[in-house]
Parts: sequence; structure tokens; C-alpha cells
Amino acid sequence: MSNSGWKQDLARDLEAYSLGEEPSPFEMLRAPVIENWTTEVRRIGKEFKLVVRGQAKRHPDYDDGEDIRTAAIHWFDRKGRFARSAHRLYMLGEQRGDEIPIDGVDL
Amino acid sequence: MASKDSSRAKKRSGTADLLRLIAEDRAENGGRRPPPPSGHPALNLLLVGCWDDAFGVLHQLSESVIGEARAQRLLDVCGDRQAVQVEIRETVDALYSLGTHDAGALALAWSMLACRPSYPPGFRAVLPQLQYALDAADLDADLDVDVRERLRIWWAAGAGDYVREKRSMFAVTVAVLAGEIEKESALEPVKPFEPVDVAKWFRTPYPGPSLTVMPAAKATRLNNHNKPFAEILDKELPLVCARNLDQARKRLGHEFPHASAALSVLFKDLREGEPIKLRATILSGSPGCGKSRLVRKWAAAVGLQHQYRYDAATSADGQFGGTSKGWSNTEASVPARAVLQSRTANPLVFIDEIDKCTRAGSQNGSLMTSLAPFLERETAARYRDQSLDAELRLDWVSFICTANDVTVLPDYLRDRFRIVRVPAPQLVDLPLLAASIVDDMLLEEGDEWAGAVAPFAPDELRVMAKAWERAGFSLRKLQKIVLATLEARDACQMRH
Repeated sequence: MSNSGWKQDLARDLEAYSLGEEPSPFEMLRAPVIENWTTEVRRIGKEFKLVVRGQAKRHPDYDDGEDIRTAAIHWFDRKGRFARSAHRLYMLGEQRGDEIPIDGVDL
Repeated sequence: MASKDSSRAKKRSGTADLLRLIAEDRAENGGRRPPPPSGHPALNLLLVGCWDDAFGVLHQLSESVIGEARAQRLLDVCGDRQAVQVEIRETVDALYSLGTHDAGALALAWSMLACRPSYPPGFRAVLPQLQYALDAADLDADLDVDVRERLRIWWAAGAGDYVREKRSMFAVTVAVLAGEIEKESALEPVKPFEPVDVAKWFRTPYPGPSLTVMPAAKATRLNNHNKPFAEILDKELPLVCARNLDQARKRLGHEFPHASAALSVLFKDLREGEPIKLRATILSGSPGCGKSRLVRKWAAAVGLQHQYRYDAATSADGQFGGTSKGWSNTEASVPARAVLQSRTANPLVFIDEIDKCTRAGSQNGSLMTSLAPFLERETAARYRDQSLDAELRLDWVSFICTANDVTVLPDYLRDRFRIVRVPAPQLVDLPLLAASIVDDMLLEEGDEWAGAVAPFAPDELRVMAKAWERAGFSLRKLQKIVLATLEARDACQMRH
């Protein structure tokens, strides 16, 4: 399935997000989910990109629970609900907590 | 119609204000050109130099969009950091809910105000959007370069490079551009070990007491054989200071229980933290009572890393005092070489078995005669080395000798030296001595015995004592006895 119009799609989506819109429920249902996610700013030479890491769910290319790292994110929702990379919309599940669980404490 | 016009006029004046403010800011920061107008308020905000300006500009720009009430509330909470953050977040939500293009752009600009360098994740909802806006914006080349440069600093902050900064991101950007903040990342990897530049280290001045052993004013040209002395020529050499004397005293007392009198004499000359200078001393005692070992351990314990060991038994001539400069292969005196080797002004020269050297009066000279000038402080302070043909200050060099029999020494040496008797160990010293011998074996002979040695049992000690008594109380014999005991123990050990 070719998607040669991805640039227009991206521009249209970002335009919509900057107008305060959110992905439609249909898109949300269809989008892969990243659970246990964290963000990471990576350097590409002089420039930077933001990527999200976590465990994929409902991703067409990966099994559920597989660790993935997205491509450069072009729009990150301010409330951490979704993130848009060039080709894909990701829904974000639970953010990874940095706190140590009680049963994780080694006494 | 009229109201629409007026609001537009107001907006234009707001943009003009922004540009004026930016121009002032620029003027403060080196008087560069004011930026030409670019559409996106968030990109303009990147050029502002402090948070207050950014807030003022943005407030003015968005007053008409967010309404009087919210604008007033924003002003009211100003000064309370937390409340402002909350209010800003609400403003952003409100702006996004308006659903217009301008409101969206302003919302992005407002969310920039909520970013703090100390909390890098706060940047993630701003940076991709800003980058996209910048890529989409059509700025002129100079401005584009400038804005991209500043955005890169924002990205670096988002990557956690400035987490220790308490200032706002706008101030940090200005500081980074001005070169005030070097990149100081908390996440930066630890630098790998860098080898010490020894030559450079020698060139740095020594903070403690020092002494020029070889002043250039009193030296002549060095010949080929003495080239190495160029390194200490006219150079201040450190004087090694005594350290950890209490600890050393205690430890050596345990290791050499029989030599406590000799140790107390050696320690008497030293003061904690002061340069080490020992009166010339001869340790005399029967063979094998641990004299050489005592000297070595004592020097290491008080902090003398450099001891020049000279074997008198092999010395058949007066080479100790250096050979004549006119000879084809000339060599400097031993104390001068010790200074050169240690790069300190007070090395220890340790002459072993001084009574075994060629007697004074022999045709080739003798260690005994050539040693004499170094022992007197008066002459040692201006000793003219015949090989270097330079006057050296060797009065800080310490001499310790060992001897079995001091009666063979000429009277001028016996006069110059302080003679300390090291008694042979006795049976009461056996437990401590045996333990220290085992310790040394473990330390020096590697791990052949490591972990296998339990303290000696009373019956073992009794057997060892009997054997030692028969052999005469020599430490060398005791070493062999200890070794034999350990081997016997190893052989008889019960194995499963």
C-alpha cells in the first residue's frame, strides 16, 4: 500500500493539531499504541530529534510488547496522549515511571 | 466593521511592539539588526533574551485573543512561579480550544514559557512543533541561521544539557550564545583516564619546601656523560617531608620487635610534615638480624620513596665520590646520582655492609675516604663534584649504613656516624617475627600462600622456637623455619 502523499498528510495533520484538534477516534483506534513509553532527544550531527521508546502494541510491523523506538517525532501532544512521526501516528499508553516499585527493592 | 479594523490595528501595533522590544534586546546584546517580521510568534520568541520580556511581548500579542479576564489573571499571578506555570498551561488549553490559526501559534509560544532547563521532559511538547514551524517558515537567510542556532540550544536543553541551570531558557540561550555556559551535561560520560604528562608535571612548581641542589651559577658546562644532569640544573627540587610517623612507628615496632631501640633513634630525627634529614647512622648488628630490611621498610614507611642502595662489599675504589671529569667515561658521585634519580633534594643513600669495602689507604681510593665529605653538613652543602665540576648542595641527603663490625672503620667515619646497635632477635620476639615473615611472604612472593595461612598454633611456635634456638637467632634462619613449617602444615593437612 503506497503512501506517496505522506508529506501532505503530515502537513495536514500538523495543521489540524496546531488548530487544537486531536486525531479522530477512528485514527486513534487504528494507531499503534506505545506502552511504558519515555521520550529521548537524540542528536543527528548538529541537529536533534525527539523519539519515543516503549513497548509496541497493535503495531503492524512489530509483535505486541516488542521494544521499539519511533522515528523522529514531529508533533508531541502536550498532554502526552499521542505523537506524530512522519509516517505514523502513535497513541501513547502509560508513561514509564522512574520510581522503584515496592517489590523491586532489594533488601 | 469598525471594531474588526481596530482589533487588526491593535494586533499590528502589538507586532510592532514585539519588534521594538526585540530590537532593544538586540541593541543590548551587541547592537545587531532588528529581525524582519516573521509570521510565527513562537519563532520570534526564540530571539528574546529573557523570560520577562517574552512574557510581556506574548501577553500583549495575545491579550485580544484570550480576553481581558484571562490576561488580567496572568498578570495577577506574575511573580509566583508555580501559579504562573499553571495559568500558562490553562492559557495554552484555552488558546487551542479556540481553534484558529493565530491562537494555535500563540499557544505554542505560550507553551515555550513553561519550559525550564531543569526539567528537560517539559520540552518534548514544544521542540518538535517549533522545529516543524521553523522548517515551514520562510525566513531570510541570516535570520534563519540565527533562529536555528537558538533552537539548537533549546534542543540541547531538551536533551538535558543544562539541567543544573536555574535561569529561564531564554536567559540560558543568551548565555550559551555569549559563551558563558560551556556545555555541562549531567549525562556526559566520565572522561577516560588521561596519562600524566610526566615532563610537564616536573615543570610545575612544587608547593612544599624545595631546594636547588645544582645552582647554575656554580656549575660548569656538562659534558656528554653528564647530560642527564641538565634536568636538575638550576631547578628547585622538592624536599620530601615525613608523614604518618605515628602509624609508621607502630607498624615497624610490630614488625621489628627486637630493634625497637634502633627504630626510636631513627624516628627521633623526624618531625611530622617537615623535610626528612637524618643524621648519618650506622646500624650495627650480627648477621641476619634484619638490618637491611629494617632500613628499607623504615624509609618506605616515613615517605622516602627513593633510596639509593649502594653495596659497599663490591666497592673496591673511590668511585662513590665520582670519577674525574677528564676521564673518558666520567661518572658523578653517588649522592648526586641519587638526587638526579629521585628528582628530590633529600634522597636516602643506603650503604650496605660498609665494613666489607676496601680499607682506607688502598691505592685506588676507598669508599671510606670518599664518603667522609658527604657526612659533614658544612662540606656537604658545598660539595664540588669532580665529575660535574659543579658545586652541589648535598646537605639534605641522608645516609644510613649497615655493618656487622664497626671496629674496622677508620676513626673519622666512626666520629661522623652515629652508631646504633641492632640486637639479635630473642625468643620472646618469635611470635611477632614469624607473623611478619608470613605477611611479607604473602606480600612479596605473590599468591602462592594467599589465604592458606592461619596464625601459628602454640605447638607450632614451640617447635619453631626449638629449631631457631639451635640455629642461632638469625632472621634468615627464621625465614627458612617459617617456610618449612608452612610446608609441613601443607603436607599434613587433612584433605577431603
